[in-house]
Amino acid sequence: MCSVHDTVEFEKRGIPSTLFITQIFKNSAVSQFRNKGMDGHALIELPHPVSNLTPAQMHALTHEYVREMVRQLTT
Amino acid sequence: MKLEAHGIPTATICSTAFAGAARVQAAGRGFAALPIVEIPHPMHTASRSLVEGRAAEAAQSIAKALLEGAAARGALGEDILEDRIEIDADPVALEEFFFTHGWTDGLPVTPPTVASVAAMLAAAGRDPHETIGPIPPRMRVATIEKLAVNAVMAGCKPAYFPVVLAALDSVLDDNIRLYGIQTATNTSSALLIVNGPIVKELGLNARGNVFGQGNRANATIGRALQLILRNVGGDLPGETDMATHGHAGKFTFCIAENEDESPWEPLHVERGFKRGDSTVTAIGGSGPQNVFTYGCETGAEILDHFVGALTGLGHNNIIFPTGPLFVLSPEHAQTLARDGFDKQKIKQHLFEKARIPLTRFAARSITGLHHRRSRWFEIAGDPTHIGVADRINDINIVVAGGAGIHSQFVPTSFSYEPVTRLIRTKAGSAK
Repeated sequence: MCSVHDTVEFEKRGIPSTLFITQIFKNSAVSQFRNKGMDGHALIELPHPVSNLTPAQMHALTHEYVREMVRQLTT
Repeated sequence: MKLEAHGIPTATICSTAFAGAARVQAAGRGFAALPIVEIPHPMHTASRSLVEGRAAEAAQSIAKALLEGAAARGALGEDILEDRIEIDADPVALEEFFFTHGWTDGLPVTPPTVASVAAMLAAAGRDPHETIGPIPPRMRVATIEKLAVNAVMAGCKPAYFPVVLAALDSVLDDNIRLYGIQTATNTSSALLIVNGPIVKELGLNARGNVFGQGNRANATIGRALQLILRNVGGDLPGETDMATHGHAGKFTFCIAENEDESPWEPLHVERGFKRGDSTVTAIGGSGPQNVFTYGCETGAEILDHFVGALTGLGHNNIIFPTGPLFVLSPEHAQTLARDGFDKQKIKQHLFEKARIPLTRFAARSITGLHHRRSRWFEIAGDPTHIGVADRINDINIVVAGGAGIHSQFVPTSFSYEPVTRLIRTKAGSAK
């Protein structure tokens, strides 16, 4: 998936990165990180689906995961 | 041929590109000597004066055919008889044997041995000598055993065979118009949709990649039907199958409904069967068109995209009165259900909104639409547009597929309506 590819490319360029992925695509992301030589790369698992959430629900979801994103990018 | 059968002299006019196919098809229906008058190909781009010139040239041949009548009925296409052969068991030689005889769809097949065919027959619990048919386009009759041979060749497990038999039974129903699907230039194939407990029992895929590769049951059940139509029905590309392009579904075209993730009653229940019944539903379909609802959050926005996909020019549901099929992803179905749309409301919406103004068509196309979609102009009450279905319930909705905001618009063709058959398992009971 494009998001794994982009995360790997950022990391290769020395830019700390993480990946937001909905639950249903997690196994695929884990496998693709492994195939691209970044086995066990950090990611953040969101509930699926997000495509039909309202803006308020999206904001709530963002608040819930933003600290974990900062933690992954800074440690 | 029906006119000839009633003693009415006929002359069938074909362009040169199709004359060979016409003769093969006529022979298959028992009229090897059907009078066929050839005119130069192509016709549809010829000027009016050229058409008139060709008509004048053909008039004498037409008159001759009508006055002298069809010659005596030709021999019927030979029925497929039981036959056993012994061949070299070398794997490469075996594979080549089937290619050499033209008994494959272009991919290798599993050699049907006496034991593997017997296992297939045992799973169906049907008399091996029972005959099925006639199967178009050559209108051949075959034994259940011969069908089992093709199921083995396709790679089916024995447990799949009852589904193959139900699928064949469904496509042979007159409402499917299989002969048209097989022989036309259009890019059609019989799509199979499996419902009921048998989906899980056989491990049919109803989820991600449902139209794609990777599942033995979907791949080989659909392939078995196509091999039967080829090896028994005599459906051969370039000879009887005159498809301009064809599509990947002519190798295999079998999906299952994702009943677990659907908010609505499944297709077979909608069509009068019990939820615990296992069924296969057939309809003539082209390659699915993806509808990617990027950025849409509501049911109304999703439906706008469906309407957009339906109102482009050139797809089969403008020309054919069959009514389109939508294969909705579970996410689309659940968002639509959340926003108050059930199947009937979706159908109503598509019926009312997916209409194309006739001003977008050339005059000749409008004339053709009035002929081919005459029922629309008789009953829809909208003389300035063409809709994608003559009646609301000619639109069909199935839920299948995996995660993602995609659905499939399957343009349908030839079939008058879908045909659903119960899948009968070994005990003779219906499941």
